[in-house]
Amino acid sequence: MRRRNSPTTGPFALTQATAGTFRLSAVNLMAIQLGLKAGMPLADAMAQIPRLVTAPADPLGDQAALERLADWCCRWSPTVQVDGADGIVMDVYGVTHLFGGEDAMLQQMRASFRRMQVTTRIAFAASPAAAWAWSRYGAGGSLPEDRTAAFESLKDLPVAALRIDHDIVDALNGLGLKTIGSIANMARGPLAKRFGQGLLARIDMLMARQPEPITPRVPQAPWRSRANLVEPVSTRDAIDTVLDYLLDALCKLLADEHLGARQLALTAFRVDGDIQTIRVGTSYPSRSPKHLKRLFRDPLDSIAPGFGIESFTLEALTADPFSADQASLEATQQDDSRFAELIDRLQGRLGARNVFRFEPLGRHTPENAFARLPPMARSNREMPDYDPRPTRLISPEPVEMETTGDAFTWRRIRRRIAMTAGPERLHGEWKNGGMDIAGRDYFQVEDEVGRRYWLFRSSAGDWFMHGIF
Amino acid sequence: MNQLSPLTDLRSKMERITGISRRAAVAGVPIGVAEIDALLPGRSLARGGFHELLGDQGAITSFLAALLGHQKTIQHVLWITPSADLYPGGFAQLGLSHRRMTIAWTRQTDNRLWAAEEALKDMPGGAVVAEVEQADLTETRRLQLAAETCGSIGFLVRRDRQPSAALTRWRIEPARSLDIRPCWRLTLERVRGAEAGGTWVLEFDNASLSFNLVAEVADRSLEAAE
Repeated sequence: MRRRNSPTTGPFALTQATAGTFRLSAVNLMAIQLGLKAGMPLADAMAQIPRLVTAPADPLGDQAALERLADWCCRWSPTVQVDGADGIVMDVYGVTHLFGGEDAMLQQMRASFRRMQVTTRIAFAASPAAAWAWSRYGAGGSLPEDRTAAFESLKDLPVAALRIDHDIVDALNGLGLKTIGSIANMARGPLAKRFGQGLLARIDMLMARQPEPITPRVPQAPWRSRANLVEPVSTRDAIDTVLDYLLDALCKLLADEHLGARQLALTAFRVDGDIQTIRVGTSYPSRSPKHLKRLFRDPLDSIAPGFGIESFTLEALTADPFSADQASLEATQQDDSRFAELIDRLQGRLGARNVFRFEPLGRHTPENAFARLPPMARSNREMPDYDPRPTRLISPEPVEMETTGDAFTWRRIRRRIAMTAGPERLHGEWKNGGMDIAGRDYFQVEDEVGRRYWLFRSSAGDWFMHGIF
Repeated sequence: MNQLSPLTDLRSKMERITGISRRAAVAGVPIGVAEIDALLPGRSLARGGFHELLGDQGAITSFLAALLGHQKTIQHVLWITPSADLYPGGFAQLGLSHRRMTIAWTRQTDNRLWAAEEALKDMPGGAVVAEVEQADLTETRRLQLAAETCGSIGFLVRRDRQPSAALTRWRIEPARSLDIRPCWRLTLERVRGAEAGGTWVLEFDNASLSFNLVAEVADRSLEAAE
């Protein structure tokens, strides 16, 4: 696939400096028709076509754009790989029927790329090598599945279509071997001896006799559902409807394997090539479409449909065993899963870290005595037998204690002390190579209206408010 | 199948008008002090609705911890708060174990009200505490409806006194104790569908993890002096 998105309707070329010379690195159709081609020195090109418009090439930008395009192609097949500087290779085995067959799929692909103003040459073949050759040197489109029939089309292509080094191409041409057909049936021994094993391997790949694996861009989730829409959608109602369909399909897949989803990703493929992904997590394995739908409700607001979304995929990124007959579980467990669903919704809106429970760590330093755990984590530790502790622990705030010791000022209000109890001496703990706190003397203090405070006197003799009861 | 007897029908109409549900009356949350419970419909803080608390923040926190702590019928408490200072060490000493508590933290009041509504819909055996600055009548009606759907119980800690759909409204202030123990002055300001009110001083009983009705400390010292 080649992208020729030029800012002009006239002849246009991208230029790149190689070995001190500016050369054309890519040209548009108009420029080709005027006799220009990639690799030409810029000076020659300008001399031939003075009205040629040029722009500096941006190989890194192009590569990034190609990566994005490859991501977008995941709407057709999960197995997509960027191939070189200008290609994308995709394994469509077993997915063409989803798009109405190979020809229909080809039409849809061409239409989509046209909408994105990406000029492409697309070929369908039995091997990546054959597709590479047929898209770049052949007519493009679908090659017959039958190897012999496919070879009939491939045999007239130049040897360069084998994707071999220029040196070997030149050497073959020097011997009068110009087409694939002319070397494909030659004795393998002499051919290998003269041109190396690589040439034979390329021929075998072309003929689909040797596998050429495709590395998927994204680790493929084993549970996925997909919706390809006849008409792009942009309204929330329409997206909701699609999501319902996807969730039903995915939950059926999960049910077949007695699994529940722990992490889901919804990906929206826009007509302009933009891709947006939303991820949600669950605290219990779930395959209830209704529950999972609710998790998506708020995050869906972040989807920008633009000119429309033409395809969605929904994947369960992780799934865990799920007890098949939920209905027969005990009532408490049903309440558990109802509570878990509630927690998921709260976490979805408030943020996962903002919904939590406490776990005692058995430490004495008050501010380090508890950890925050995910709400569904099981508690393993017992609460230590502490002296009285406040219900609200604040960051220590300085307090002005009067010298008589019968009143103090905190947050600008003078509070008369009615009673005190203490001290409770708390030493620091070794942490990260140092003491987290120096020794503190804690007091419970009740003021004249009955408010109770947790104050401490630091080892330096200063007073601090640490909590209220 | 679903035919209601005229009596049941009338009852449900009455419940809708008065806001007092019979089901709630069965499984309410008693304060555990007979004098106070006697004033409440169903002799308890009704389920299927929410109750409002105003007053001193520290006193409200410890009162709720003690109230929910000794109610073994309440399986779980969701505490929705804008501050990061809830301390489980203190809650456990009032009877509310860290195992029975989940915290939801968010600064935005509307998110806290939303969370309370969601939780009231899905915590039939639990209690929901929400600390908000204020709530209008519509928002409190939503909370009430949510609680009715599953018979849950909510506690709305608020600062304003706008009209509300709450079943009861309380004012909670600290009170002097004799030995630095939790002590509260409770004022029942409003009971929906009833004329009731009163002020009491409650003291926390460390041994039984429950409330004792006591006289004001000032009066108690007087008695001691006589």
